Amino acid sequence: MLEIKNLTKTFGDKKAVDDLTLSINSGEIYAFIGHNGAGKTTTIKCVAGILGFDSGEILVDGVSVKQNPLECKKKLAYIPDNPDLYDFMSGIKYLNFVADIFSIPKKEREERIAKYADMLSLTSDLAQPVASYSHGMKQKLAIISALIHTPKLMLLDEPFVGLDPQAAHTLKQLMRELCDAGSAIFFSTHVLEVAEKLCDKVAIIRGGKLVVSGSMDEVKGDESLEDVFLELVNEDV
Amino acid sequence: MKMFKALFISRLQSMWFSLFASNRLKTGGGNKKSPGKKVLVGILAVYILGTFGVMFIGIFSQFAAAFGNSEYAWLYFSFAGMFAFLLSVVGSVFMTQKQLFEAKDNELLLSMPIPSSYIVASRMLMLLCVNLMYTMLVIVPAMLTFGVKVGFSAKTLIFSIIGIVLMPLLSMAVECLFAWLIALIGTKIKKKNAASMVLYIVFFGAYMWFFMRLENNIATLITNGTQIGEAIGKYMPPLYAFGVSSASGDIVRLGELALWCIVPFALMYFAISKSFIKISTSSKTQDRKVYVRTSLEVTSPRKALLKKELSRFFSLPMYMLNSGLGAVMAPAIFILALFKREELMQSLVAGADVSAYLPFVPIAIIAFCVSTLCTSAPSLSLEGKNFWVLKTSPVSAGDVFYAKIMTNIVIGLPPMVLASVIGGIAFTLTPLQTVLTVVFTAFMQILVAVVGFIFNLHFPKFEWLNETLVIKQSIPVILTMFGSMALAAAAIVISVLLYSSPKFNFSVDAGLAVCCAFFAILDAVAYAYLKTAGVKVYDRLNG
Repeated sequence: MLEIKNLTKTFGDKKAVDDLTLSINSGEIYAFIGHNGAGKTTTIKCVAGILGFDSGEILVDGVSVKQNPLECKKKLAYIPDNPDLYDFMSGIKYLNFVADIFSIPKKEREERIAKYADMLSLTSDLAQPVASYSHGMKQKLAIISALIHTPKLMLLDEPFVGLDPQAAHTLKQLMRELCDAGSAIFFSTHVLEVAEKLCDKVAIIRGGKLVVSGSMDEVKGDESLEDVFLELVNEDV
Repeated sequence: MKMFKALFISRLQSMWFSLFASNRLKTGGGNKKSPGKKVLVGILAVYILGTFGVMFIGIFSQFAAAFGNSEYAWLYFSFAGMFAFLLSVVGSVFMTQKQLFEAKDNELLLSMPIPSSYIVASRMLMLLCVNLMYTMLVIVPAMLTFGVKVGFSAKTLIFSIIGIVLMPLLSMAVECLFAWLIALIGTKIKKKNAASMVLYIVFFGAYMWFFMRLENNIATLITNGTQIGEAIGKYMPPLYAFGVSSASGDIVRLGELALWCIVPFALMYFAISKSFIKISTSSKTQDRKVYVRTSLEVTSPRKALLKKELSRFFSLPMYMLNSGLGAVMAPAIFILALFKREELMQSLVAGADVSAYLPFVPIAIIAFCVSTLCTSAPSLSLEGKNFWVLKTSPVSAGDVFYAKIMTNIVIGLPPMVLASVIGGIAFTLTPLQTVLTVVFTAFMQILVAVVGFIFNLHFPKFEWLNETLVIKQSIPVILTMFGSMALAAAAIVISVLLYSSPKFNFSVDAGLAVCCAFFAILDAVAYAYLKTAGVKVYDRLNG
């Protein structure tokens, strides 16, 4: 579903992502972990089409992000680490706007909005302006908007930040549901316990370079993910 | 002191970045501004300063001739002070309110060990710099005129300069009072945006009324100088003190001026410092609406983007007032012309005989109003931290361009076409001339929308603390307004010259057609640029 081949992205003289290669199959939840500034967000933004990149290739469901960005964007959904949404819209208007952008038929959009808003306990707040939402409510709205077009690939940057325990639990459930239906999820997180329990695969990045990637069992072996992560990122430091 | 200095510098930087910095530096191309852009900004600055300078030198030359060498020389400076005061207040009253109470870093700063009085002081000092700029825009040309026509002694020159430094304190105190009242009202009422808008329209209306009547009233002011002088002395003591101290170097009056300026400023500073935390952290009074499921309207992606742009426009009073006021102004001016054309002409051309060029007057008025109708100029910057939504959506650059440019056209064109038709009737144009005026309006509105967006593509600013900064003061807005005004002036002047020159034997219709053709060509060039280079620039933007 997602293939990243030799991705390199520089900001001025600094290599934010350095020759990164990884692939994610349909049905997989893939955790992307690393210290602050390791290059996680930059990688995700390159895949989402927000940032251009210097070299390499990114394919979403076989389609090149560079050659055919609009086709890729139709297949993916992105939730940033800080969900800045349109403050001047109400929650429902924002969701309807996203549904319009993805050309979702009326019946489907109404059903999906109802389903996900109920699951995330946001239904009664949908008439409120986004400006009045808390961080967690904005995060919930961003999650619903990302699910409206049932994306084939979901990119999440720190999705659990700001969510209450109930909503975090629901999100994990939704992530698994989506992947069971054939989609894939690539997400960054610092909550290693969640990654360990939820993900099929994991990649660890340090200084823009991929340190290790593979199935969760392969990467962590008998240790905890936290131990492996600390070991790997502290090597040669 | 170090803490205060850091706060003050951060405010100045914020203002500077809102004017000159752009987010293109995040595209990886380095953060150096190209020489071309520096030249462009330089030309713009010279053009704006030149326009204001010429206008005020023209006005003050008349005052200097009347009062310069008389016992009422002080009145000259009092008028200069009055103009400077009005320009400062109208120019920055709402910026004061936004900067003091609605800056996005309020909570961050309040969470730090910084006394609220320091936060207020640093912001007031930054705003004082803005007021000083406005004051200098008026008083420096006034002083130059006085220097040339009458002359300064060393003492009066020094006192005048001290006056320039003091006067912004007074305008700042009045602005702070209004800002404080608006903010206080905002904590009590639900329709805060509507209240702000009404107040701004009142302010702007008063300002326009004053300047529209100014040309007419200069003669009246000059004729009745003695009585006006007495009234100023009696009812406007700061202006009187400024006038006398600048004209005659009276140190007692200078002391009075200092008191009139410093005391209200200090009082406002203490009042705002006391209530700053309460006002800036008060939660908005709003009724909580509970969502009830309703049928959702389905539209195309392009229409959805257009609706989004319109929603943003109508949700921000500052946006409506700064980028959409021309849509109200033009029909209002022409409706006034239907009934009082002669008086309007007196105000506009200060008694000059332009009867031979009357058919060109409507397009001149329209050109001025259309140039202020530039919602597209800040529209990309207004995406701010939401830019990721567009960048990750399956919409092309063309779709985004369409929405932002079409919003400008939808907001501007209908009232401007209506205004053109009313203008045609008011100025007794022939049907063909009216049609040409309408065509000119359409071409110019399209150009303002397209060029405004192109400027924003080249000078985007996504990281702002308050949207007012990008709406009111950003480079794209200033370039679009003054640039389109200059282009329209050039087109009209060329047409009038062709019309009035016996060598060319141009008719009015042909002259108007030249204006239309000029803008049609510019439209085509701008559109072609947007479709090619514009798309590439957009694709490189990161937000």
